[in-house]
Amino acid sequence: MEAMRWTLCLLAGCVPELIDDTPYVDEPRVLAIRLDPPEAVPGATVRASALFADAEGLVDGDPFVWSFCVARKPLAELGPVSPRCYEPGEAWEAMDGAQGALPADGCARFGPNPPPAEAGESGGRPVDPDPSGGYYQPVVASRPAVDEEPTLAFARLRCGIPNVNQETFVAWNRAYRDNVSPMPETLSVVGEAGTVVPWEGTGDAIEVQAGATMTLEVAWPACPDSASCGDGVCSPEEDVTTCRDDCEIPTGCNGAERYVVWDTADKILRLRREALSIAWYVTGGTVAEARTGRSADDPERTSRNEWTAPSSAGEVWGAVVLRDDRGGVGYRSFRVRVRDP
Amino acid sequence: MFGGLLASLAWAQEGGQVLTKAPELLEFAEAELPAGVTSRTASVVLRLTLGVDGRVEEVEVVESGGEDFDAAASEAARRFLFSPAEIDGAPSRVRILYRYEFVERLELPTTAIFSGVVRDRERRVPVPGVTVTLADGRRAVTDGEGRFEIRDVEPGTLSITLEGERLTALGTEETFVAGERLDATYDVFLLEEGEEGDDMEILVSAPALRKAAVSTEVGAEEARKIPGTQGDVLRVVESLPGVARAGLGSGSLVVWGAAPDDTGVYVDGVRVPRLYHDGGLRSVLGSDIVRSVELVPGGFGAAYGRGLGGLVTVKTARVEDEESVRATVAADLYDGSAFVSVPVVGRGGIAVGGRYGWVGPLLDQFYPAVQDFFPIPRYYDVQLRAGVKLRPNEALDVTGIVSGDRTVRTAPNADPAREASEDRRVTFQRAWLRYSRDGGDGTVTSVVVFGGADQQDRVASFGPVETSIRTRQAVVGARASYRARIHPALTLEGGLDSEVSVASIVREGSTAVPGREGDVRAFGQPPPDQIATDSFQVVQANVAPYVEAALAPWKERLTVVAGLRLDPQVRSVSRALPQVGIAPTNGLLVEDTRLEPRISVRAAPLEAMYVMAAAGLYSQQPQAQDLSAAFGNPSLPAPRGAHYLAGIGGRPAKPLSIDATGYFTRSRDLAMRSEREQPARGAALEATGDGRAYGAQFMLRLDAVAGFSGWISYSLGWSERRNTPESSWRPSDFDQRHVLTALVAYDLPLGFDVGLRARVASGYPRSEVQGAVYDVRRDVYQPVFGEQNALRLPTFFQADVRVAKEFAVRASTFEISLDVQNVTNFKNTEEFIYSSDYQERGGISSLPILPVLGVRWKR
Repeated sequence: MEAMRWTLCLLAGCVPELIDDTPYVDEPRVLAIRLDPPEAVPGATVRASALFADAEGLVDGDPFVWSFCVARKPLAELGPVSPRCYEPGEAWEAMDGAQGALPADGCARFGPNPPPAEAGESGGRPVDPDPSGGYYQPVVASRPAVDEEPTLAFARLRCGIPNVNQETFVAWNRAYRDNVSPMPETLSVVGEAGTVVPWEGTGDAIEVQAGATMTLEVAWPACPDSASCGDGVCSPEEDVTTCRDDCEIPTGCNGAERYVVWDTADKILRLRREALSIAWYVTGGTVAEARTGRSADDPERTSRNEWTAPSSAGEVWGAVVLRDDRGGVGYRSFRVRVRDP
Repeated sequence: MFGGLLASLAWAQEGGQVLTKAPELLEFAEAELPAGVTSRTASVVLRLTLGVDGRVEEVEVVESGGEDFDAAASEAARRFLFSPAEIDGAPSRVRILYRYEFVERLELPTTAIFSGVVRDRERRVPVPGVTVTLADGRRAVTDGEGRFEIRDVEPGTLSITLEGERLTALGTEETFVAGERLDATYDVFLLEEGEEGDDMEILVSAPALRKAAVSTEVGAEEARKIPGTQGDVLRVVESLPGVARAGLGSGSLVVWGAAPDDTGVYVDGVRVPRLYHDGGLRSVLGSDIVRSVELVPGGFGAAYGRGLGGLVTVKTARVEDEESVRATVAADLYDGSAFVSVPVVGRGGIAVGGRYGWVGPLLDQFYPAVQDFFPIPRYYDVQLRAGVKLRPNEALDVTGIVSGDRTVRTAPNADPAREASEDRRVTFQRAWLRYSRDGGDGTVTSVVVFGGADQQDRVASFGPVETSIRTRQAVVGARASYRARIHPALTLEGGLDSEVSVASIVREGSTAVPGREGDVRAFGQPPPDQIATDSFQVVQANVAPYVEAALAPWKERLTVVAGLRLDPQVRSVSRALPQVGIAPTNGLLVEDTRLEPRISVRAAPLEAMYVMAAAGLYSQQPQAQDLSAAFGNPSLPAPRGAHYLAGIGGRPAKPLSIDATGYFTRSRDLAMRSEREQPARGAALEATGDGRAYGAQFMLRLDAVAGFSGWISYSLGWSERRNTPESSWRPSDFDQRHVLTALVAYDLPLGFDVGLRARVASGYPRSEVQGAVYDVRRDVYQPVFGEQNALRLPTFFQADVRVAKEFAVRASTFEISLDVQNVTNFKNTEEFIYSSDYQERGGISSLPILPVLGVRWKR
């Protein structure tokens, strides 16, 4: 492989290997932000919580000032939000601590509803959806006492779908289920023989030898691949009339859910499974991959990564963060005691 | 030559008879003056007696014009024949008075005179005994002073051959104009005793009327030997003054700071969408079919339009002039190519050529994972030409070219949401029929009718964000021109430049892909994940008549070229606004008409020096992809601009020429991404951008002397943009402040030639990353930028060396060449690349030292 890399350098230029050290927590950092619920209508109340850690592990408390950013991003801005969201100012609407009501005009400001037309001009351009058909309200987490850039989270807005007839809208509305955040169901250690030993409880630490490598596996709940009344999940094909048990109080799934999306190119509704991304964080040692994941076509509900313990004894804190492609976030942490060889 | 006039008629009437029908002169006879008569005008009045049959029976001089003229007129009159006069209805004998005028009639010459001198290139002494042969077989031999003369040369473009002792047959072409003398100087290499010679290009210093204010033209053979081009003739454009150094893998042409799409590339007057294949490794035309390439970085004349930047015109070789079969086969690290040209029936020829890039397919076969790391270009091109000489100065030819490119790259990742890939295919085809006629009296007629198609497919993905653009475009057009020499000092040209294109575009995905000038982003930054879709058609038509007058009242001392181009542009877009549901959409028809005056003045106050100035207005159609209601703006106007240039130059010593040109260009109504927080529907782009470029370029060129040739060029330029009229000016993405290129080639004995090229260029501007914000939804850091384009990539330096050796084998030649790129192995940074959290910055380096071995067989 190295010879091939060298040969390819001759042909097309050389790319430096910049180490991705985002898995390594050595200073206070936000690793994830979870919004509950992860998807809501404008005006609904959402609560934010951050996975905030430093070199010692999880940091208790909530040192953040939470705000909604109401500035709309110009098309010339290729970042995720308007630059006005990076600094306190008119664009920030403060939340009440870590919770707040989503701005009522969210679907006009960040969604498919046309914004008010300016004088003498035709109606404004609505915001385009992401590939999952979603629209998002920016949430800013800042620490005023610290000179650092804020952290951005996004609350998924339930706004409907644009430019469709009533029949299609009704069908979508009947089939669409608000997102439920994924949650790690188990975290396990994979033995040499392939045995999987679950980590019992988040407070437990396991012990490993310094410099040893172990394979970690995270698993998430299985979500139904088809509608089955009584499975506890209100699938897109079901509703309160066809399956009252599951849909009277619609219940989602903490894994890779199926959801309906409006395909703007083919002008049809499609059923799609969520893809899941897994981020791995540790305060010591090294991980083989900073990120792992499963695509929407992959039905597997586990993901593995290798972690190599540091060369000296001590305690290592780690976390696994699951993200689905509709903005849902779930995580769990773990501790490892490293002993000298 | 003399002519006579019938001045008056008188007759004698006798005895009450009435003339009922006057005699008419049926046959006139020219008078011949005896030799030695110096006066050429006179008038003689004669009394003629006509018989009943109308013949002249008696001649009497009534008014003398001089003895010689009297005798000549009388003799001629006796040979006149009249229709019989009638008196009272019956043929009768009559007497009439007839004035015979002797008038000198100037006859315009119908042939030219060809004269000149043949000199030893190295010692600059005349070479006697060289046979100069015209294509029609006539010849002359140089005298003791190396001079020759051939008179009564038929006008038009003719092949010339020079042969002699210690001189291998050399060929060139000259254009002859009736009534003019073409005085040429040929500097040739003389072989050493016993040395075998091979074909080489002649450098001719014959006078020519320049039409472009500033231009650099390079012959094919000279261009092929430039180091770093691997024998690709058209890659010489990269080394010409005014051209910025393209980034690695780019292949784009940035001339005087203009966007690559603003510079037009024409082959025999037919516009083609690109000059180079992906990656810039090769041009889209095989070198064997290229005769010359000319770059006009700005201020070009009225015959061309639809472009705010520069102009690259490629002339292809005429197969109808071939006298024998010519074939070439070549191969090197990147590709293999072949070319064959066959004369047909002595009046025409057929040529076929093609090239196939094999690096990509070979790596696919043996290292399929290669595209996981690097974009490996795959390309091919084919050319066909058939031509026939209808008459010595009239030809008809048909040409077809095909070009294809595909670039695939992937960046795998353990998380599918972070995998990135791109698959891009670009192909185009063009075919044209060309008629050309050189009247020989300064009139030149050319008509080109062409058609073609472009296909572009691009699919790019970053995790779940997939962007695809599919473009299918058909184009037809015609270019016609007629040039006439109204006066020895005045040439007029009128013409028509027309093109109609129909494009069908389907686009889905991120609104920010592909990137465009003015985007503030870092390499590797994920694109915004807001997606849209659009499917639309664009029809663009442009029929531009033009006139151009070239006034040279003082031969080469002063030339003024004034032109006017009327450029009406019509475009129809199928959607004026984004589609709402399934409701039908209205289209949009936009019409722009521009009047584009252009003028250039070139004066040569001294024989070895010139000064020049030029100015003109220009415009171009908006890009079809920018007219999307969802991703662009169907109402975009045609961007417009102006060029102003001035220069000075000359030949301080015969083999040296020096040119310096200052320029200022301005462009308006450039399409920029909307900066509004609430853009209007159908207005993702707005025509709010302005551009300006200014600077100077210098070139010191050495014509071949003692085996050396080459040039040094330096460009100092600023290319700036502002996104809106309220914004500040900033460096454009194409700003390259300094570009220095030095080229030298040396023809060694024994068939060797060596060359060296060194380039130093400023890096392109980049926006500095000052921090990063963590986006927890997409789990990526997003860069926070400082001032746009305030940072710059490091200065680029590269030296390339070429060594080649030719071997003659019977009727063919073999050439082995070694082209070593970056011979000093200097590590250049092509792009900044950042760590995931933008805390660390590195550089993607360009190619290290790379030797490319090539072989070429030619017959």
